[in-house]
Amino acid sequence: MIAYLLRRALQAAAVLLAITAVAFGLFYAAPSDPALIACGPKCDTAQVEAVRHSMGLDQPLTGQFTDYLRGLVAGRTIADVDGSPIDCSAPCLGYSYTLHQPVLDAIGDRFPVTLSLAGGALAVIVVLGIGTGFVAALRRGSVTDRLLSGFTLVGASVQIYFLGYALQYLLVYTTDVLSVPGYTPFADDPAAWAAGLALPWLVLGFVNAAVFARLSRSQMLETMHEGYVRTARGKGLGALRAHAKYTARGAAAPLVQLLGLEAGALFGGAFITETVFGLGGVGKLAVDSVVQNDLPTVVGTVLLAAFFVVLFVALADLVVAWLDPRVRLA
Amino acid sequence: MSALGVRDLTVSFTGRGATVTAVDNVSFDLARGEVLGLVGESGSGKSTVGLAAMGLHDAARTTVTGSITVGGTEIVGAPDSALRELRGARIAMVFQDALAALSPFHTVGAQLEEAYRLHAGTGRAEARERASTMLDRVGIPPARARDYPHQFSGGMRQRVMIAMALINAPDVLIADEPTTALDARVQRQVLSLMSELAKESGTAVLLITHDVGVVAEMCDRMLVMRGGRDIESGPTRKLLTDASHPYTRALIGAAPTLATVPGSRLPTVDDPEPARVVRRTEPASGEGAVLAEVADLTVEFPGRRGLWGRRAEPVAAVRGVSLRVRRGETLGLVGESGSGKSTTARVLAGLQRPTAGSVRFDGRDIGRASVDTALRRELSRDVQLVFQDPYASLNPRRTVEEIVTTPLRVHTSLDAAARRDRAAELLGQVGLDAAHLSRYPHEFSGGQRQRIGIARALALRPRLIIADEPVSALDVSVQAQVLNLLMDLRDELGLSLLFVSHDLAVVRHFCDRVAVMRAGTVVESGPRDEVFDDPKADYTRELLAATM
Repeated sequence: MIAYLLRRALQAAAVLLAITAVAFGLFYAAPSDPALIACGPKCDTAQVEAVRHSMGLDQPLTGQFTDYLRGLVAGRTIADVDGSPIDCSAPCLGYSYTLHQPVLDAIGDRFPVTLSLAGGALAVIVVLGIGTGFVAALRRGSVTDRLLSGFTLVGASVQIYFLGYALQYLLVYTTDVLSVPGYTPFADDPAAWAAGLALPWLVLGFVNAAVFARLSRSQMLETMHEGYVRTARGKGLGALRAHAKYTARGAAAPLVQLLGLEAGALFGGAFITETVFGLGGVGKLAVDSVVQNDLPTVVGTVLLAAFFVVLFVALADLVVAWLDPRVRLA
Repeated sequence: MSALGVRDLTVSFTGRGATVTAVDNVSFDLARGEVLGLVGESGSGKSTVGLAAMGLHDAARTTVTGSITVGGTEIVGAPDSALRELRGARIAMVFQDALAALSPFHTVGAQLEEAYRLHAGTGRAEARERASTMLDRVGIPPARARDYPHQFSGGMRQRVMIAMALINAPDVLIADEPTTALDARVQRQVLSLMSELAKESGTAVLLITHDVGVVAEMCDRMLVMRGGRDIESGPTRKLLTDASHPYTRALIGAAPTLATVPGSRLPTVDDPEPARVVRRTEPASGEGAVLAEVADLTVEFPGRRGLWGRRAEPVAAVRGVSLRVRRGETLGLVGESGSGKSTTARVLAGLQRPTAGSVRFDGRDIGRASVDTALRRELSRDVQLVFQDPYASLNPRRTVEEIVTTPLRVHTSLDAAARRDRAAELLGQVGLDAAHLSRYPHEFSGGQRQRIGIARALALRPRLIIADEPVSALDVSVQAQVLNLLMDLRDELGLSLLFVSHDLAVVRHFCDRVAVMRAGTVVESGPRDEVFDDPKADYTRELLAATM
């Protein structure tokens, strides 16, 4: 088990290293000059060259890459535009000359928003997606089944910006059912935190729930006819208990795998939802950095998103192995 | 009062507008402590009776009428809450495939405890105690309660299943083909354990099976079902020797036993009393030239990848096997599952590369056939295969004509019309109608499909046919038809065959020479009568003793 975890961590590190290299390569292939951007529009050529030197951009590519990697692991000191040193401790993702702060701090400022948004949306996906599929499978062919399946299909077919604005208009401005979306730190006021995020959670969860609902319904229907479910019924277990204890467990593996991918994607930022509801999360930071040619932030957010995907996929594998003892971790 | 009373039971399924009656007006009584055999072929409705007695049908699609009483309590129409109290407590069930029927997610101990706690209403500690006792009783060390079903052998899993079914000492045990998937020796152990335990707890057993041999060993009375109806019932001994219904007689006679005259025509439902023609009175052995042979054959499969990608020790499936098939001869390869018989057959078919040793067909080294496409192609002109599962081995998207003529298209220059003529001729040889050429496999029964598979194998007039368990997936009466057909074809065409089977009675009936395999080695081989009448190896004797 420990050997497995170790090997898995090494694999993850290799994947992240590859992604870092690609993102770093793009950094240089991009048709823009980081030194010029950092220096500002009023700089003359000599000043830009000075900035380029102080930023280390005149160093060979491999040297800069190893510097970047060293920063990730051990931290490093980065030169500001004027050459003054900026301390960037590990894991150092570089320094944003646009935001005038280390990339990690820029992400750190916005991450609580993303964490809150993604966590709540995942809960909605589990309840609305997987739960709906479970109920629909138990009542297969009934009106409930058709209604639930149709309902989740609606979620899959509408766009977040449409649904987000429409619901905001209906539930917030017209009827006052929900409060105005916004972010209040959980530590400050948990009630305001939940109230401000309720609508984004619902919208983001709902549009992603359909695929889970369909998969969980078909998985449940398939597993329902397994011999071990029949055995459980034969022991005298009621239908609902038998399905909750045996069918659901048999149906879980692909759902957990998919949920892992979804979690990885959501923790990397949800740009559209953040934009629609005016939440400043990592997704918005990532898109803004691309628009503004803020390359250190681009690389940092790409790496962060990749990190979460790798992490949650690995976690999903562990959960699947825990659910089914026949799965060998290898 | 009987333990299980069934009166005028009719079960029908509704689906896609059509209604199928699976059980039609069946009545019987099962007395306390009695063992009743419910015998029939697939589709006879025997399993449906068992599920109906448990009240385990999908209520939305199934109509059950009549009456089923367990110790006086009515099952038909009872609310689910009442059924839950009965199930597992007063009526319990053992299913055919224990690997599928036991939960892969829970330890066997937990599964036994659950079965006990649901009805006994005791605490965990007491349930654990009881589970240990039951496991011990079926010969499984209680320390293994913490293991999962996939960590046990097939026979042990079925014993776990029996322990679980009997943990509450029910009045009725319904055993649906409990040993069909097991090897003969294990089957005997499991059946005797089951009857012993049932006797201890005074449980009446309804034993559902297709196997008349099992009924003969186990049951006081038997009831024969066909097409959902009760054909005939009575004391086992009477029915076995003097059944009044021709179907019962055909069913009993269809499966060859160790007392059947080898090579004789087997009775079938259409022809219950065949003329006693014994062909091939003298098995052709020892004379003909060697057609195919393996010498010192070893086949190893790479071990599982361990940590850091290192491989474990390879698993040897076949270890130093030498065999010969002579021209015009049928060699039977018998053994239990895992004995290496199929792997040996695959090597002779050129599908598996030997790790060591030689394999020759007609004097030529064919060891590389599995990796050398040209050689493999050449070999397939002369060596053809008949597979076990007639459902999986025919492409469902191709017509019978396409299936049967594919080898002709690959290997001959016949044009479409000539191929069609040959296909029609082949269908005639295997007892099907040329009008079937344009149909698809799903329109045929299992036995008919196996005939199509045989026609395909015969298309190129091969010199050797390798048949791997060709009749073990078939019902007994269909098995008899296919065996009769193979015997006819062998006489007509002078075929050489390698016949792989786990069934000693079938091998004795069909083969000229026999090789008995165990754990990758041949423990005994020789002419059929020598091996069966005077077995030299202890293992062969054990196998013969376990055959029912």
